[in-house]
Amino acid sequence: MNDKPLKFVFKITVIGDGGVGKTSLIKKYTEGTFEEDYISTIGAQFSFYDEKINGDECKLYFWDIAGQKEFEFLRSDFYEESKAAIIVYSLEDKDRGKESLDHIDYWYKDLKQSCGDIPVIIFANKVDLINEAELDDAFIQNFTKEKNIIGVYRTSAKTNQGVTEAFQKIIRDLYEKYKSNL
Amino acid sequence: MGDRNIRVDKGEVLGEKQAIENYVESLYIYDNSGVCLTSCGIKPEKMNENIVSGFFTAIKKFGEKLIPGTVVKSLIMSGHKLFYNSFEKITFCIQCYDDLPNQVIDYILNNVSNKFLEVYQDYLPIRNGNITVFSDFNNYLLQFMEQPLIEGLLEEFGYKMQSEGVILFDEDKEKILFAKVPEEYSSRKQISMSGMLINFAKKLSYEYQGGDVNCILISSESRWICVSKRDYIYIIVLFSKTKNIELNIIVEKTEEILDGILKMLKIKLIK
Repeated sequence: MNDKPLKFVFKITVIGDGGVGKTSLIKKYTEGTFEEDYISTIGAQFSFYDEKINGDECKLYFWDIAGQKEFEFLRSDFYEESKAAIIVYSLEDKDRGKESLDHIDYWYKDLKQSCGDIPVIIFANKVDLINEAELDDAFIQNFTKEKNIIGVYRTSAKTNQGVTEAFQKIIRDLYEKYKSNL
Repeated sequence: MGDRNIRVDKGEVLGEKQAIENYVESLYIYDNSGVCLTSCGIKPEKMNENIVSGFFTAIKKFGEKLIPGTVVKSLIMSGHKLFYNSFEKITFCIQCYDDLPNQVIDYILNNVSNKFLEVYQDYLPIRNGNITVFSDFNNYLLQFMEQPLIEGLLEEFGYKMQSEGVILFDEDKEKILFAKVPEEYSSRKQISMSGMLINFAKKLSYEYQGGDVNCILISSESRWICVSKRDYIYIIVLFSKTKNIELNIIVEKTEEILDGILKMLKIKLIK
């Protein structure tokens, strides 16, 4: 048995339409902060989150990739060697929300083309803007089952609802997967 | 360079002050996903090394998209530069002052990358995110950075050129800066004769309006002797005639190493 603590770094790609809250979610999880003003990500931003699991060090290395069409030409290269991906869409009851849900399949295919069969998790963000009781999420539940997505989590970067739980799911799944393969 | 009584002189000018760490600000080793495997040197305070490797990876990918078929090899910033080499999907990046000669950067990166790939070839490519084992390489990097740079360059030069001996001499200080030669070939008399030869050749050259003399190559019965001078520094390189070496390569490489060494001696040190 190896007594020396292990050190893992997992690159996680975060994708989705522009303005759905990708950067805000990561900031909330890694720094605990939230900003109301929307500032579009240029290219990519990098963030980290460190956690110890069973004495081993795990670092989540987030590549928060710009969702606007202008950055499409760069995205596939930025996905390279990701260990998992988060697709974010917005639950807000406006065009942006509806379009971001419609585009989930596009993001999923874009990812699979570059990364193959890596674990994917979906964050349904901005849950603070809707009435959850009236939410019809049949589409996303079917999509999740069909594509073997590891989970769908309703999140709010503003209120922190679901954020910790969702990120914890990824880090634990990755750790278990790669530790057991050693 | 043979096992005969080899004299190795370091000289006080090429002392401890001129270790590799005096010329290199930092070194990063990272994979294609931008994950930093190990690093050493000066970094901005509180800056995570993975931020650095992530940005460099993104810049590299952007550059390849901007001009397809090309590779980003260096980034020049005012007074500093970053230089990259990639092998087996691992990138080795050095951060230094921008006046460090490229041949010196190549020497450092090649040494580091060869050692890294030798030690870790069984662990590459990294598929499971486990980078535990690479932390140990930090010890090698720290030791490597403490090695004297100019001596290392001259030793490598001598080895690659299959020379019998290399002597570097400072005319102003009248000191041997470096000598790796058989014992009987590094007397003051011999070095003075080389200096006189260059000066005489210069006079001859001016007679024929040839200008300054950069290099003299003597073909004797059993040896080639190459003498080159820049400013106050000159180098003498000995080759056995039993070796099959092209003459233009001897001259070109001798002048190249001397130009590099002269630049190195004039560079402002980090420490």
